[in-house]
Amino acid sequence: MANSAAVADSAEGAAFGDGFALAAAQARILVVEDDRDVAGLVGRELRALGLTVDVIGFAEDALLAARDTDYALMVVDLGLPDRDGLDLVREMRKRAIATPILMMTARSKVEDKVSGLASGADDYLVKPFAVPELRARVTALLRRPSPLKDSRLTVANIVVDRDALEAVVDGASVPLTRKQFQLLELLARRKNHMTPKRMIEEALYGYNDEVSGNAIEAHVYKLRQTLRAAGAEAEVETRRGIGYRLVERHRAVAHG
Amino acid sequence: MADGPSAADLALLDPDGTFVLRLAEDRITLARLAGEIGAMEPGGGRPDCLAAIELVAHRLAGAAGTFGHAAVSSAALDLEDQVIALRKGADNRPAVASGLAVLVGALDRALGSDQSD
Repeated sequence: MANSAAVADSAEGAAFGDGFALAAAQARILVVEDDRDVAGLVGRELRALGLTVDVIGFAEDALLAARDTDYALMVVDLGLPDRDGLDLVREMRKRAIATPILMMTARSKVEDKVSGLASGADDYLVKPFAVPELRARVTALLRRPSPLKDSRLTVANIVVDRDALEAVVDGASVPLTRKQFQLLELLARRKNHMTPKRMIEEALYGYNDEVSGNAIEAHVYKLRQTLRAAGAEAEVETRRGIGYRLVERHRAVAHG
Repeated sequence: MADGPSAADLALLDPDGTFVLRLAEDRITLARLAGEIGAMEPGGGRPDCLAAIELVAHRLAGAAGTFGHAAVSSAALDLEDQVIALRKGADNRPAVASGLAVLVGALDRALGSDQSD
């Protein structure tokens, strides 16, 4: 297979449409591949699509990154040095990480593909692959709404409706600013898990935005007040120096 | 089907030539391992030597074709299958030795030289 792949033009906006270009501008992709050359090529091609790409060579590091970062897609190689790729995918799903996963492997047997998909992967790419196929599969997965991603998140009596951009407590709409809603949506998605301040900054602000030193603290304070006033049975817990998490009230521990 | 990528493909797939350097390094490694396996007793096969061959073959099978070297990928995949069978107890050491020679030959062609021993 002569991979004329890369010779195809790099005008991905034109190739995949303006909608994709717009979505890609906000998408962050994790590539889990220990082969430096393949990882470099995949990273380069996905960056050419306008995506932000993190490359990691070990499964354990990938688990940490997937927990702390809101990736739009993960590209995971089956053969990793510290852990089988199938195991990694299963572990991610067990931890409720719903990010779409494209598995890569040098094997093309039907049972390998079935195992990959059964472990929780969303699609499968057999190595060696042609670069246009990689691009097409990534683009298709980014367009596809993940069945694991419900548009409504529920924590105690709070419902966060990501389609309506509305938070509801006991059936009543809660008045939130856009930033407060984004913060609540992020914390609800990561219910019970600590969310580092840096991650919140990345979710609420663009790279070029000026963020004042206590902006996140201010948003958290306001959100906490609003939720309490609405009678929410979950609250934002603070761990100084670590981050924030949304927990049901009976689990919450006051840390300030 | 061409054995290797065109110059235009290579310029985009491997702009700084690092993958070609890797092919050359893997070729040296495989030639050394071929010597080691050739010196083994029939029916034998040091596990570390076989594991090393399997690892190089596995990585080449996945990567080479993606960089346009389909023949290298194909030979590497065949070799990997033979080594896996040998490690599971098959009596196929000659097939592994032959697979190694085929892969080294494919690497030589990919590197644009015939350095066969």
